[in-house]
Amino acid sequence: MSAFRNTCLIFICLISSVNCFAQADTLKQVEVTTTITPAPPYKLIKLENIESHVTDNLADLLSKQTPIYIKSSGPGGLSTISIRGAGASHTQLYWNGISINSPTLGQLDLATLPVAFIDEAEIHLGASSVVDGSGGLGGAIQLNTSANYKNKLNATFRKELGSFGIDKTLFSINAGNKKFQSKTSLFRNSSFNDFKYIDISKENSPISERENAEIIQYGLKQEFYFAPNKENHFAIKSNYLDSYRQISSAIGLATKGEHQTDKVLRLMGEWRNGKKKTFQHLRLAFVKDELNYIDTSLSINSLIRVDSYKATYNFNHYFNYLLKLSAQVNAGADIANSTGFGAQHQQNRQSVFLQFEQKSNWGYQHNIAARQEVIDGKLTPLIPTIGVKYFLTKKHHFAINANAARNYKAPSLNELYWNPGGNIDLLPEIGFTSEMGLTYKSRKLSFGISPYYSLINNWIQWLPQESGIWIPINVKQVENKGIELEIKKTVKISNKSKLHLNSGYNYVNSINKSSILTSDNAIGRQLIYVPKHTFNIVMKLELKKWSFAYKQTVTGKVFIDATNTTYMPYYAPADINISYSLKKDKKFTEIGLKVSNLYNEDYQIMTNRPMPGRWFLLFLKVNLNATNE
Amino acid sequence: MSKLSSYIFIVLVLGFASCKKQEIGPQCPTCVDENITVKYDDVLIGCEGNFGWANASISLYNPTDNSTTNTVFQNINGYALGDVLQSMTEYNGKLFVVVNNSGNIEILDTATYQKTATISGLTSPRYFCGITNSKAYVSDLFSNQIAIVDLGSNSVIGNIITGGWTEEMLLVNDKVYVCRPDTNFILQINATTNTIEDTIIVAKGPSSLVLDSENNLWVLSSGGINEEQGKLNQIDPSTNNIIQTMVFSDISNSPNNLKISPDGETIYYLNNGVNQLSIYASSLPSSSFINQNGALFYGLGISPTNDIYVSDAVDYVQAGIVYRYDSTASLIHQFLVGIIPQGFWFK
Repeated sequence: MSAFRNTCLIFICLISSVNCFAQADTLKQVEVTTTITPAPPYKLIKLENIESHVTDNLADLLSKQTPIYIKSSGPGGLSTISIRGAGASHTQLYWNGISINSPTLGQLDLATLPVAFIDEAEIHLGASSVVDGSGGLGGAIQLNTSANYKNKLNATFRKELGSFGIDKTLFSINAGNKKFQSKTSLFRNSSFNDFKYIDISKENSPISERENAEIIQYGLKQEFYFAPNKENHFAIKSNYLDSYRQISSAIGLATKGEHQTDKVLRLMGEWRNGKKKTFQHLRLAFVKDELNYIDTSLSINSLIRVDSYKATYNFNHYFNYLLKLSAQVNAGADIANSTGFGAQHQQNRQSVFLQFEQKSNWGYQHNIAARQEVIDGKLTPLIPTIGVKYFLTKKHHFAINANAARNYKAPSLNELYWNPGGNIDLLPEIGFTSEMGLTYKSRKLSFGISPYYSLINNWIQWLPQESGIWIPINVKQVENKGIELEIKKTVKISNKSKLHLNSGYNYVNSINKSSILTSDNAIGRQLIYVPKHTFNIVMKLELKKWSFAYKQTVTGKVFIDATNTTYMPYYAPADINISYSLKKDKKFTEIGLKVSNLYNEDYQIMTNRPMPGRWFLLFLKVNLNATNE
Repeated sequence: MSKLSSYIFIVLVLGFASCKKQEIGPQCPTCVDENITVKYDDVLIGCEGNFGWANASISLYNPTDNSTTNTVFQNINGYALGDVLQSMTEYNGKLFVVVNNSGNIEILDTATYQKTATISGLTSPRYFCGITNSKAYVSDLFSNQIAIVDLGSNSVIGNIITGGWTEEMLLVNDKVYVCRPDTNFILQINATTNTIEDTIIVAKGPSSLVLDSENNLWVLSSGGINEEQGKLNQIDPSTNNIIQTMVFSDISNSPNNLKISPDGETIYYLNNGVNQLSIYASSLPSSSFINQNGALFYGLGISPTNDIYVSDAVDYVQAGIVYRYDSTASLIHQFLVGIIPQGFWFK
């Protein structure tokens, strides 16, 4: 949605309350940001929606709060994202501006990103992902954290107990004053996941119990924020995840004792500086990612260790309140060791991004931008982007916009260096994307419609050669067309009760346009694991001390072969949350019940990977809150 | 009004959500064929399916009427075959379908394609080799041993330690010759005592072998991945001496899928297309018998009527293609089958 000007302004002011209002005055109603504004459309999943998912992972959050397709092998299992028909590696994830997609795989398992680590998620679709970096052929997701300098003490204890051994504990404490803030979160999540399912692999489809699906996760987040004066902000941000997951087999296969551990440390130092019309933002980060996959029965022990060093510097300058220049310089190195490589591989990347945003007094604005990246000393294709926006009404409720960008996704380290099979001659996947948007936003109602069109050339696919070795090859051209609808509405029922509706629908027509393969019968067909239709709705009713939420998602059928003869049926699980809260002075207590898969639907997202039927979860939250007013 | 429309919307959503569906798991509406008629000249095509997806299948083709039916195992037996079909071997009127990653062998009645039994508890089974009415061997990718199966109880009753990956096997006069693809030799096992008696050095990567009409053994080795040149060896099984060795000049070649005509006189294999040579030849053919024209042939089979069946898995996630040629290499028919067609069984 594009009409987030006001919310954005408020939000930015929240995170940098010290100097923001002063700046806003001098620059009138211009959005004052130290990050670079993406072109619309983008979606913001704000804190208030994140809060109810604080013990979940990013896959759970996105699949419930947006109509974006999440391909998951089961609760807590490998979960990947597909935006606008593009592949999992075509969505780039950023933590506070730093790329966190695995350099070896090129993608991120969303199940290894706990919501407790972040404060907001901003989804940049299509062309708007170019402000973040290259590679977001589908889009990009910025996962940000921030501090509220008004906070004095905010301590939370949350406990959840549920079906098939779900046991989640979260403790967080945010404390500080107007100059210093500390944010700490500590959690443990575990589940046996030994749920019952219909075993379609056996004669007469008996009921079976899922085996080898246990999950244990520990996480720690520690952040320090320091604002010595109005102009300067410093922060040190860190999080650490220790995750153990058993990997259950497809239905009907004997368990092989497969399991995976992920140990991820992310560390960042940040400096922000704002002087009247000029803003700077420097971030230095270190990410250590260790993935160990073990299959005891087949004696497979695969270890991937990646150390990443990244720096990003943003510079924003307002020539006047109508013209803004943004610049970004990135540099980074990924040093990867993998049992699949046989040697250590390092990749160095540097990039420069420039963007001009110009506005008129009469409701028209445009931006032009370009990014140039260098990977291991080689220039990659220049990626230009252009966007225009026009407000149709004086009060700026109605707006139309259009954007176009070129983009590319460089091959991952596995694609380049896997031994045997790595292909150093791979070309980057080149994308062209364009979209239009019509948006409306008022206090009670907002909606958006955006049709888009994109082409991805040199789509990479692993294919075996005569030797039997699988090699990644630039195989096909993919065309994605679609439309995204979103509506948000608040209905006031009485003084103390409100109904919030938030709904989205995506249509994706993702087809294989051409391929280098002879006799490819997939030309003109929908890509596998890309649903044409996805829909979600969150309805939340607040009635005094009671809160009721109903979340419904509908995911259309997906083809599981490229010729479109076999498919996975649609699924439409619904969740319901009921909670009761008590507020007394600074103490807030909430107790609630979640019923997931309310209609007890038997479904699978990935082929022969069952999902649980109806399940329950009880939660208790105790919160102590004080502000520095 | 706005309140009312919101409530209507909610009712619609809830109403939609309560509609229930019946389908669970992968669906293939065009595959379902209630009336599969078994004909005397049927061809079954084993389709591997994708690793970990449990979508292995068997397609049925009839060369008389050119009809095809997919997922016949599931249609007839009411459940899916499993994960990665590796091989189909006929023995004593039964078809032994090795499902690699499921660790199973489904035993089908060749007259009805109905399952009669399942051998389970195998690690990573590859090929089945019947020894006697009551005994068979199953080679394995990861278990470092060959499983000895009792065909009465259809259970594993013992093992022969091999120290590594074992692939195709062939019974010749109470001796079983076994390919060891991760080495440069084949094993000779005494089928009575179940002990390894000899190893024969061939070349890196032996994976398929056949017996010709002169009772000589032919072993095809890929040469590994650019490790050495691939070789075709002719071996006298009475002495285990190598009669002749033909060398593939290009080290990047990976010849595979050695087959023999029903009369045992003509050898076929895949190497940049289908290649053919007589068992009396002394050198490899200089050009392919059937050109693969940019495709990559994956599976090969020679029918009892000397038709040549060859499969193309295309991009490995779509319906595979089977080409049927006559013995003069002219195309008779081509048809679509399941995912990753890799082997043929001729009734």
